[in-house]
Amino acid sequence: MTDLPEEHRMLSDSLDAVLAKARDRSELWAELAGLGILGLALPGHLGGAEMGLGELVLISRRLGRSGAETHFVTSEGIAVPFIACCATHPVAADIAPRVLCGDSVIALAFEWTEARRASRSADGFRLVGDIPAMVGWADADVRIISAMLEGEPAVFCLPGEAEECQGPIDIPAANLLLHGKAAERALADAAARAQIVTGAFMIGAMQTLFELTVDYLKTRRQFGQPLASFQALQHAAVDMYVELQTAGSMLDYGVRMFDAEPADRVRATTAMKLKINRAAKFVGETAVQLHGGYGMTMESPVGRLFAAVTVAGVAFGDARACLNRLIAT
Amino acid sequence: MSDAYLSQADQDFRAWARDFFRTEIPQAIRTKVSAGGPLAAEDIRTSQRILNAHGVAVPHWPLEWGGRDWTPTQRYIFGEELQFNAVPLPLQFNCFMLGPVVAAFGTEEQKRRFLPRAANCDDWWCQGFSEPEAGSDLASLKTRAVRDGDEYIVNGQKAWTTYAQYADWIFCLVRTDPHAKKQQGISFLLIDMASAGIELRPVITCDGRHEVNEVFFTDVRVPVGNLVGEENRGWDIAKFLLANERAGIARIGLSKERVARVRRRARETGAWSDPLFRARVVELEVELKALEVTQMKILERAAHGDGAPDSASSILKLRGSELQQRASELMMEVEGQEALRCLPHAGFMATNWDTEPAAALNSYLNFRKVSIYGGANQIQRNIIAKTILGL
Repeated sequence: MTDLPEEHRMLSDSLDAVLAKARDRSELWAELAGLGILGLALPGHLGGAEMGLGELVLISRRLGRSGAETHFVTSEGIAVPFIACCATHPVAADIAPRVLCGDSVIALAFEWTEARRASRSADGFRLVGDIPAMVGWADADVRIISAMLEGEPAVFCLPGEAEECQGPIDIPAANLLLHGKAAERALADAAARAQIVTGAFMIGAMQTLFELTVDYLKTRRQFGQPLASFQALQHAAVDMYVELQTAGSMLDYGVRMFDAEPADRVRATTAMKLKINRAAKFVGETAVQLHGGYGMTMESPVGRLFAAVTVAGVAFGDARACLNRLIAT
Repeated sequence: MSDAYLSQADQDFRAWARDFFRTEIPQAIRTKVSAGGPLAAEDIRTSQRILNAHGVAVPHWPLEWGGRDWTPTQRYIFGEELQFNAVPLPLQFNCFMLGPVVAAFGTEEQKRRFLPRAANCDDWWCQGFSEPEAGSDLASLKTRAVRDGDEYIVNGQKAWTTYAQYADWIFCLVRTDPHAKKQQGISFLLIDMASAGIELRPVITCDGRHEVNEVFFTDVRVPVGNLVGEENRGWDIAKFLLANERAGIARIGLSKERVARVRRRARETGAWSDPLFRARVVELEVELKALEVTQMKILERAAHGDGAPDSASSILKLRGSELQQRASELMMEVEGQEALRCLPHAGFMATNWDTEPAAALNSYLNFRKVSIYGGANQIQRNIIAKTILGL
């Protein structure tokens, strides 16, 4: 994190200032809007800053580091860049201003599966099938979802009234955002991006878990000595360090491979997510264990971050799914 | 458990126990236990009272106080079937800590007063041992009890007090002689939670549950009659209690029940068609068998021994806790993405957990405690290294 380009350093510093100040979720979201960080992946003509994956990764990582409660990763990291892919669509023009000023949290269910299908109806489309269990979905006020339409992937913006996404949903014709090859490409981009920004969040969180643990070993005393004097605990901290370093390297690799050929990219981000998942499980569990009971509490950042990396570890590619995907390729 | 180690009589006993649990304990409670969700206080009380009504809540206690004339193997079978059939464990603090302590070290009056009520969960006990500065180094505890006429005045703070929010009584290690060597100045005191000067602070764990608390004592007056054993000899009682705690804490039956649940669920979610997942289930089953037979051998040794705690119980705690955690991981993994469906809504940072019993992910978080409580696993390794390996 030391060799940041100038504009990244400025972004990082402004973000840190906001994180230090904001007291709760909605305050943080308002501050992020004020900083111009929301909608930053949108193109200029929609009011965005046309920022790319690098900035999203930096911010996601910082948010993980701070343990902030926010929908940034799913809304800004996954859904907003997708909107940029269909920037000329009227729906995009409708969503963009709300995103920029922080009025909207959006979500994109990008996994396209045979289990979710749309068919044409009199006024537009009818969608049937499973709605995924997805972080950031329930809180979003704009929900974008993929489905099979006439044998090809399609992406729809769900009407606002679609509360519980169960059972058949009627979608106005104007809400079809993408269909066919364009949809397939945009969804594949979203899938890769989802793994990368989630991975970035996890690396940030792991960094804090690690630093808090080293600090705790130095300051906490039992049996008349600091915990750091026990070799077994030193070694555990070292193992955390090695996992953090190698997982962080995989994050770099995933980011670098974002522009590679699709098959290579999938292999790279899947391997990245698997490695980060494994590392986060180890780092999280070890941080909790070394902190003793305190690490289990909600009031401790250790407890909260451990819960967060566990959730993030399941989201957008749990270890078993990643492993099986790699085995098959 | 392996028939290779059980006589026909024991196998019949096991069949009876299994049948008893499946018919007498309400299905609704057993469903909650199986899902790994948090239990209501009423669930625990109800279940224990049913057991007590049948005279089997405290089979390991002396006969005169509700024990049964069972062999160690039978007691073990009973406990394992209880867990395997997803019955809530009888309140550990009552049945495996306070009870055996008072039975072994208490006066007749203390036994009369406390034991029947503990067996029936009429008094809910909690454990006042750990403090913020005295976790693994328990003997460095500071909560002070000063003798004043026929009372002690207690000041201090206890931490990680499980279910103190439901408790009627707390058994406490307190310092009665601050000038003696640390283990030599500790006493074991029974304190009424309704006493003036006791305050509770709930501690919410990272799974969103309210299981533990901090308990604060400010000039709490405790009758001298509530001292168990001799003043300043409380550490011996603590060691007795902790060894008992350690021996019973492997929860192999619970892990086996969870693995059985994972097998069923894996067929529903499709995880069973994944050979790697199947392999992990099978590996865990093998480890559980290995530990189970180890536990049986320790039991057999205990049946022929002098009743002194076996250091090998640290193996049970150490490995048993690891296997419980592995089982909770499989429970989460079998769900795949569905594990996220029980979540609250704040990005990855969950703060208001919906503690619905079906949350396998929640249970995984909760079970991280088992390698910390009952003597952290690092301490268990130290005990084995020192007392068994002589290192």
